[in-house]
Amino acid sequence: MNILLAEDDHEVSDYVIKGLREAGHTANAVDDGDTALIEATHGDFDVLILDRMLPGTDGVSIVKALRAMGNTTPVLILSALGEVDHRVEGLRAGSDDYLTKPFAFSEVLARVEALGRRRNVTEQDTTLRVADLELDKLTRTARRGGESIELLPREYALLEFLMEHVGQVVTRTMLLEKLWGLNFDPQTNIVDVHISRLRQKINRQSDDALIHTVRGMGYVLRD
Amino acid sequence: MSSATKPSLLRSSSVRLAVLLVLVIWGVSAGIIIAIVAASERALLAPLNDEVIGLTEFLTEQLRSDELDLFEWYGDDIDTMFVDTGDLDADSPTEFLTAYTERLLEQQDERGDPQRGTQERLWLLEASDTLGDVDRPLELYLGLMREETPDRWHDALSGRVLERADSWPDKWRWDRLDISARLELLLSALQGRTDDEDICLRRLPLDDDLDWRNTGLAAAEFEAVEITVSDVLEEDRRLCWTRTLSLGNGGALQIGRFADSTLVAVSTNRAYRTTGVVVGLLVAIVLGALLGQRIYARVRTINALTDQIRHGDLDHRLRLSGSGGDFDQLSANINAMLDKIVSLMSGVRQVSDNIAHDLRSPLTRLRNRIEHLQTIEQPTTDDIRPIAEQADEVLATFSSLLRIAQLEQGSQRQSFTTFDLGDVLREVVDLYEPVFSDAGIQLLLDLQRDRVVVSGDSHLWTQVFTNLLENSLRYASESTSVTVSLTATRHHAIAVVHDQGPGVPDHALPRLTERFFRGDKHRETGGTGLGLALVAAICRIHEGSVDFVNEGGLKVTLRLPRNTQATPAN
Repeated sequence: MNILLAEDDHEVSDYVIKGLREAGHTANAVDDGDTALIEATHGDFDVLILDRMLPGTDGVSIVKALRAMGNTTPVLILSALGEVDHRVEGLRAGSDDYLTKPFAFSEVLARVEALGRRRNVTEQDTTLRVADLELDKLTRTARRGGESIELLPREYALLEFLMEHVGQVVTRTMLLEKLWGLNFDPQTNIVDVHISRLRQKINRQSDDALIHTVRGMGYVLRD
Repeated sequence: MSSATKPSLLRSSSVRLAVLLVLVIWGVSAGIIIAIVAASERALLAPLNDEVIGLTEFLTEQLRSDELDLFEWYGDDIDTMFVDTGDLDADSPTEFLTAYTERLLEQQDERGDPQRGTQERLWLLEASDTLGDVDRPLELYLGLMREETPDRWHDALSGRVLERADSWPDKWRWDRLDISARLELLLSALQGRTDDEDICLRRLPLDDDLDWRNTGLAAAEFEAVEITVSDVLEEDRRLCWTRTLSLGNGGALQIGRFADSTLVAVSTNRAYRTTGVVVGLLVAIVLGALLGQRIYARVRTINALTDQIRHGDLDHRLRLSGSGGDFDQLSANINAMLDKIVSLMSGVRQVSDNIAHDLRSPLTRLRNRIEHLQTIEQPTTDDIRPIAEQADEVLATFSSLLRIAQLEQGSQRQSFTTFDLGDVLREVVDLYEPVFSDAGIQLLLDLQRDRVVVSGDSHLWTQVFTNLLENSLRYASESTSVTVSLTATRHHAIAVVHDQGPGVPDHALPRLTERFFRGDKHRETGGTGLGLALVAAICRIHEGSVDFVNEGGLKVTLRLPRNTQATPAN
């Protein structure tokens, strides 16, 4: 993926760029808002990572400007201002995701990849398939190897999310945020418990584990 | 430096204020006094003024008219001047006329001032030379000579005089006179008609070189006459109330009325006017000084207080006078501001105390671990992960602290919306049900109402119940069930989280919401020690409350007003 990072803290910027390149992406950084806006409108990027506070145009204003111009490139906003108000403001301005500093690089990577992928998923897909696992979005049912799996609504939502991000690492924080609207980390590992429940149900029909744990990062659903 | 300049600035601005006050009050009071004095003066002079205007108008009219109706002036008085001729020794009409004239003049001398009637008769007898040789009174002689006896001469003369007076206009030929002659005549007539003492006439310019008779005033030029009211004219140290007739050739006639009696009143009034200015000034200085002093005193009090605040003393407050005026409002605002500053400062102090006490030790531990890492030659992931986790813990604590501080500043209210509190409980319970189930605890949800709509930030309430359930998991793990229930009264939504754990020692109950407070038994249980402090802060910004009681376990009761005064976000 071609990624643009706008971040005026060079230490953070170097660290993120280095990580993204190591993960196989093309990544470039600018350190002020005006340049970021110019680059974003002229270059062909898959994902934009914008710091909220930038010299010149700030991140939220860049998103607003881009969306006003009809540019739909996915945007991840980075911010030291982690409060709900700011998160809501950022998302309302048209950004696709919002990450609070300090963050782990794995979190950035997971989110950037999720954003880049989302662009390729066609909305019309009503059936998701991974190996012999099938999910019907219309009837909200799952089957594995032809046998239907009984899922509670929360389990269905979790599986749907994982299948939509097939092959991508999904972090615990992403799950808490996207599935349960929790923008803070509970002390208890509730995500692990939910994943483990889901795993049991999916694996009952087969010995092939589809949901894998990525140590120190999160989970991934793949063949 | 700044402490030295501020009071002097204040002083100079209050001096400016006092001067301004003095000027304003002076202007107003002097203006009032002068207006009163001027009104009384105008009332005194009004009749005098009317008289002078009347005189001027008459003169103007007469000067302009084609014929002079002197009889209108003299007719009434001409009879009143009776001349006693009984003892006159006259043998001829000439002698009689001469004696008559002499007698007239004698009588006038006896009276001490010229009388109108006398003047009129003298004129008609041509005893005065003012008429020139326009018309000889030959017929008078002839008339007298026609009488049979000299006894009847007096009556005949009187009759002739009256007869002549009757036909005056025809004989006088006023229309042939030029304006100077008319003026001369009129002036003499006026001198004769009125008391000399009262009338004040003056031809302007006063320059004697200007010969009135030769100025050649034509009737046409006279048309340009203007009447202007002149001010009081002093002549011969007498006061004369005048009007000025402009005659169109640069000359003018001043017509006036001596006003000696009014002079006293007018000059008294002038004195009053000066007194008014002085008294006004005095009143203004006294009032201005008093007001300025009062204002200055209050400003000085406020200044003294703000000076104390600058030096860190926040305990004092301004006293209110109870008048509800601007200064009271300012004082009340300053007091309220001080209260807010004190509460904010104590908040900041608490946060910094917390950071000092509760963040230093984990950071120190973190540092020690990193130091230990340096001694290991080939650190593995297992060596590094605990350090990262430790750092995450510190960050979590830090962000919780920050969050509480931000909540306490009250800026969160902007994101308030209305939502169903039951939905929040359903979601949180749904989220935690598997976790409780794994821990062997039954998590029960008891919603006694379909919808309990409140206004606030639903994310924050999710956090409240998450924190409470986390606490139940951590500190009441021996429970067989934990119940979450929601009821509502007319004004409040009441949510209860009730576990079956050991509860909390009574002495610790009031301290549960303090930051970093942990029960003695749980020092090592983990957690940030901020969960309930956050719960309390969230309750506070929603104007709700949280209570803890031991009731077969810990029972946490949350009360939230159902109609908080929050503006729903769009």
